[in-house]
Amino acid sequence: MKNETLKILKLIFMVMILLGALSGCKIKDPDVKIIGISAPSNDIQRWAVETIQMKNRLEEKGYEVIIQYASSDVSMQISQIENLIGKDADVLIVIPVEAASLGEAMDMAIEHKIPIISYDMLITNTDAVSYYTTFDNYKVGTIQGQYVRDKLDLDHADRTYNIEFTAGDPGDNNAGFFYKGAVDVLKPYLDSGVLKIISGQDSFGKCATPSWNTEKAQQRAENILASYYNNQDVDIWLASNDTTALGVSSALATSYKGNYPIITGQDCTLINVRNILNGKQAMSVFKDPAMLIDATVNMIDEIILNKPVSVNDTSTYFNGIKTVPSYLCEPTYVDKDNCFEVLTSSGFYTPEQLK
Amino acid sequence: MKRILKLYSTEIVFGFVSLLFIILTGAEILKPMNITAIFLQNSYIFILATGMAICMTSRGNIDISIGSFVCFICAMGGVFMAVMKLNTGFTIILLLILGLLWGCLSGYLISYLKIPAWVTTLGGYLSFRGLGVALINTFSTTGSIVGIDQSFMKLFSGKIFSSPIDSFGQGSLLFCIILAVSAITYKLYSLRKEGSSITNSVIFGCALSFAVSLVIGVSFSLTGGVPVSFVWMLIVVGITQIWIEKSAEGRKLIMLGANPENARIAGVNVKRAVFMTYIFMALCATLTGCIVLSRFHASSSYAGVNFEMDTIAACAIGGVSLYGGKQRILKAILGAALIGIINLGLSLIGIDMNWQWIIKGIIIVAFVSFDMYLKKDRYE
Repeated sequence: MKNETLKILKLIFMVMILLGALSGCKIKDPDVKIIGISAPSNDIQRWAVETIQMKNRLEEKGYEVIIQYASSDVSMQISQIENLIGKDADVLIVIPVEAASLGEAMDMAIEHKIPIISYDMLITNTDAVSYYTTFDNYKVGTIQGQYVRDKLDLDHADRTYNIEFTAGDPGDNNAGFFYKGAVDVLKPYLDSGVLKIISGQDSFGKCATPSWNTEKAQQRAENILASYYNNQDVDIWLASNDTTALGVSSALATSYKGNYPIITGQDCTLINVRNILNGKQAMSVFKDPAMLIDATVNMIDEIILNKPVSVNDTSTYFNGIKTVPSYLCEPTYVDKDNCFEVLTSSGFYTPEQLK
Repeated sequence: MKRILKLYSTEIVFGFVSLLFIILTGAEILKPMNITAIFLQNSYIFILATGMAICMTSRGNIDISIGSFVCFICAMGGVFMAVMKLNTGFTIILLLILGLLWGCLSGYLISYLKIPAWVTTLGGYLSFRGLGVALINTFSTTGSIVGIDQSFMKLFSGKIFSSPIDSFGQGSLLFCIILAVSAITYKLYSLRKEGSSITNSVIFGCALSFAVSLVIGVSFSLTGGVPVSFVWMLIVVGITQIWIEKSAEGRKLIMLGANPENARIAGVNVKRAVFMTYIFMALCATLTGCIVLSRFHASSSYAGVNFEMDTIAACAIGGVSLYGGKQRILKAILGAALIGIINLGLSLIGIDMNWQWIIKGIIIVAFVSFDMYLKKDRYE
């Protein structure tokens, strides 16, 4: 009896070892390049949609694509990246769960000489990341500033305008770029006195909103309105993104009686787009994911074909170890006049959603 | 036949599940890189399962605080090295002291004050996660503390006997062969000393261990070296196995697990034994914390998520009963390896994460039910 079982066990292990030997001989088809995509989670709508679109685009071009979602767990993502390397991926697109903690997986990519494209969120604390694709974050602020300048024709202004700023999360590398982009455009007018910050809160630190939190932005706006705008109007409220813009517009609705200001935003969040259509927000910067996907797919083509990789910024994005060559996509803006057309034609929203 | 099934139930299921994943992944799981990955990616389960098996030996005691404690150790490691700029040696000493303190506290509460283990460690589970995240958020705005010492990372992650990945590193293979030979020699020597005869099954076991070591050694050789976390795992498992089999303390622990009443009569200090197991568990968690910190290259609030569950699952599969009893550390290790294979296999197949949880749950319950069915007469 016992010997029979042993025989079976032996057989099982022989088969295993045989398969092991066979798998060692398994040769990968060198003509089909494998692209691995590692994303934080498919519960986050943005990543779920964009990774699938990316996959479809890459497959059209004849690549084999493997997507792995890490259910927002860093250990899991490290293992998954290692496993993608183990599956002979030629290029990896990585959206980190946490920018600084991909440690050993990044070391492994270096060891295997696999290029890594950091998609929209910059991987930090490693020199393994080869390229970065994102939107030009400084430009986002510039567009907001220019919108304000052009709407009020500040170059020919015959009165002073009151402006307040609401900036983003101090923990977000990009928030500083947004703020600086806007301030750099408006600085001449602040200096000449055409624009006045009545509250005096004129630095990123003073205007920051932890975690981009809507309630925190609202609280701060309410305090400013209560302290400075009882008998005068605020003309411009430069909010860095839509969640903070939402806080500002809520504060205005409850604690402000004057002329409604120009409010800026970013991301074209559905509720803010509705606010734009209702006149409660002037504009929002639109970062079309299709552009980012285009840039990333294009970059992969260039890497695979050994062509020079098109980057348009080699000095801005320092990740703590190296300055990562980046391709920055151009953001655009939408306001009441064009938002329906722009957002529905790009497929970002369906016409029904905006009604 | 049934007797054999009973004796080797873990091994049989191990073989079966492995075979299943070999077929499902098209043998991809047997690629050298993936065999290495089983150890590289799951070293934490191996180390923690060893500690947990010891913990469970003392009758129904579990520790669910370990995952959170790992996070806390990671955070403290980051604070010591990146914020306070302490050197590696000093950091390790301080971390070990923290581990000892938590081991003593939880052990004291559980064994001397008779607070149920799951309550005490639930407290640890909640507070250490909170503490770890609070520490990281205090010293960093980005959710992770960077600036871990290179020497610390070399000690707990990376490879030894490292070789370029496109060449064959003989060192790794030699290392594994020497280890296997010495383990087998030791086993045969101790059997002889006990006066047991060397049966066919012993020879088969030795041959199998040697074959497995060879496969692992070749895998390491082809993938750039022996993972440092694998060496730590061997050290922990080896020391524990020798300790529990050879030392008086260890034998007392086994006695206690088998029959607490007899153990008490025989003069085993039960409270002290339980106390010791929690210190051991906390030290295992501390070591795991160091390994995770090095693997992430940063203190992360995500460190140690679900580690306790993977560990308990490994012990359950390894047949370490929640009701105590004669334990075999090596079975828990086999359980850990199985969890590792399941993790890797599901990841290679690329199933959606939510389904991975479901499948893992089903495999664990199915296996333990099978095991219980085989051992029915023993439990009745």
